[in-house]
Amino acid sequence: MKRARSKDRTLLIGSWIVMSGILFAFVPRRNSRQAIVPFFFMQFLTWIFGLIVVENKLITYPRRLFFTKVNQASFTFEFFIFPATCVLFNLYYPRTTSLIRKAIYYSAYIFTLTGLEVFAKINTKTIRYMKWKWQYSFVSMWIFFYFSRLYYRWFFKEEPISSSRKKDENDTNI
Amino acid sequence: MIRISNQSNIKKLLTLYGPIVLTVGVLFVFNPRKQLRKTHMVFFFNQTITWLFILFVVEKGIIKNPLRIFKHASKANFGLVFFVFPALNTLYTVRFPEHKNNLIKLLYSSSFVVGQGIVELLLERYTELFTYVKWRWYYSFILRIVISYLSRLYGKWFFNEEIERGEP
Repeated sequence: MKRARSKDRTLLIGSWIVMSGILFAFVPRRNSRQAIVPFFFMQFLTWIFGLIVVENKLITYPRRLFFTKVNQASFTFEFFIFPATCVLFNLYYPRTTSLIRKAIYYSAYIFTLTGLEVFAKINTKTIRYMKWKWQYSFVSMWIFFYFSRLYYRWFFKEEPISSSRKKDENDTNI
Repeated sequence: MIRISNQSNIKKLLTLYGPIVLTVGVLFVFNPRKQLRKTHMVFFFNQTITWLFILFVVEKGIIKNPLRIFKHASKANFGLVFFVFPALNTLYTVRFPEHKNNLIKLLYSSSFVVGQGIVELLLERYTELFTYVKWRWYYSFILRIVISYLSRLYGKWFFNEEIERGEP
């Protein structure tokens, strides 16, 4: 019992540390504004969505790290991990490649996240599916990533893909 | 069917959703259309700060929110903290009279802080949206001053209006 609890804590704290490290390493300082936009946007979406999901008891998070009395939703995932992933997703999005490569890019992120979620579900008590399936996670993440792309493009007034393909632009240098 | 709240009573529904609807109206009238990007960024920033803060405060039992949306999922008041207060602060930041003199700036700021503070006090007294347990009314005022200042700094930084310390 005690060991199980420490395993959950390790997973949660570990994900904070690893994610911070990844952000620190892969988000250049000059791109901090471009990073903040998808981060905040995703936070906004996941908070609402996470609360709805927990309120309707589709998922429970029996073991949480922060704000355990207040929030039944997963603060770690909704507040940090998912938005941070979304930052990387948007900064390194391959805007000028073919549709198939974009689909692969999407799947790489979403499979990784869903895989980690299923891993956490099986091995720890940080998350438990009540009326939920990993397929739902997969689809909802895909939709969220797509929304974040739309928002990012609108925010930075990116040109339509067809015209930006002609230019030889760097993904992270908008 | 998505269940957002299990309040059936009309009065409770009004108390819960009335402030949100009102704020949407206020935003619709006063928000400058041309600065949509700035509005969004400042709004998100304020949301993060207020949400984090209320989570902390409710966790410590300093404030209670007996009547709230998402009754099971979160003990913090979602409607007010997630939308109403950040939206008002956003309006404050975006509409700030940057080019007027200091007296006008001071009047503008204090009317916002005092106005919101009074609304909060009234809500505390007459509704169950929140109850002060170990909270004092002047904490709210001090907090509002700090948050609105931070929100203005952030807006300036993000949109580079004043480059004092150079590129970050």
